[in-house]
Amino acid sequence: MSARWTECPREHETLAMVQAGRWPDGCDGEIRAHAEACAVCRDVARVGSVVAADAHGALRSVRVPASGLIWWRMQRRAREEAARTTARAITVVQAVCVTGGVAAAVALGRTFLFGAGVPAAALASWSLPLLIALAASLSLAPVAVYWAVGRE
Amino acid sequence: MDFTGLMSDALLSGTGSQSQAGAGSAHGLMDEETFRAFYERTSRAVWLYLARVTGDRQLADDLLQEAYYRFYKAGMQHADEGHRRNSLFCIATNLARDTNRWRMRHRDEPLPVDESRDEALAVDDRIAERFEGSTDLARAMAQLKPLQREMLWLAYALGSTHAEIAEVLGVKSGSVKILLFRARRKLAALLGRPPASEGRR
Repeated sequence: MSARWTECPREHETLAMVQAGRWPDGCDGEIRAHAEACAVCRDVARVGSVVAADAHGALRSVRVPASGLIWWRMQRRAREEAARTTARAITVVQAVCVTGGVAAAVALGRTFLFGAGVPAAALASWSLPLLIALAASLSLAPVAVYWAVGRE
Repeated sequence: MDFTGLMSDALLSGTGSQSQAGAGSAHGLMDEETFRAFYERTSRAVWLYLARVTGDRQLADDLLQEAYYRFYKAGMQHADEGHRRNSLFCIATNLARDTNRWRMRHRDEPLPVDESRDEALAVDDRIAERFEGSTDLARAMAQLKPLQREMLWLAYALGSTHAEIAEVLGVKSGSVKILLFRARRKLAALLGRPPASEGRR
């Protein structure tokens, strides 16, 4: 589409008149005559004046919630979201700890019940990963909680 | 009647000071005083924008609160008041678009099949029925595509520049002129010629 059909050098002048509330009576006859002949400026004047008048009229009657109420709701919602995030993190940490605990209990149980039948080398190979898992769980738990809560 | 002057209180002129825009807590979230002042300056304009774009006043109420919450949670620092306002309108636009898409997917009854009109237009007819006031402008706006409604409102109700429109709507700055031209031409055609009394307020 050719630019000469989509824009006019006086478009901004026309729009300024409309937005200043000077269209059509407050502006000189020359720009009005131009807008009558120019399709771009005619549409700018028509659409601009109708939309601006509607916005201006409606703006006076708009009723929005008070800023204090919005602030309070936002804070409450932010706290609820933070609590949910924290709860999720704690649940994950608890699951890891429980899993580690159960695994440790099973390993210890096997050691005490069937210790005689378990080779010392096998015990050594199982106990180290278990200890590492337990230590990781215990050290990561506060980090996870801090990550979830500290950001809020 | 000076629309720009009358609306400047609620719509902002983009001339806010750097210090005003940068105010807030150290970690990015606005403090209460800053937020409330910003809300007082912008909320009516945002609500009106949402109401006109979605065509649903009740929905505009909900989206208004959601828009401010997301804006607050984003905790972004803005260079000036104009950028802050544009960021808020960008969030509001995305919310309105998401809602329109959701409506398209979850419409209650089947839309009438009409090959001459696309699906979005049929949905917009129902928006027009719900539109408070049912003015000529509301009916005409409802027949435009959402992007056209957003663009026209930003340009002529809020007085946004092409660059600001591009920023808010996420379109290329160079495309705004032609898109705005098409939207304006379509709305002008839908509105028809002004009655003699309307042209001379």
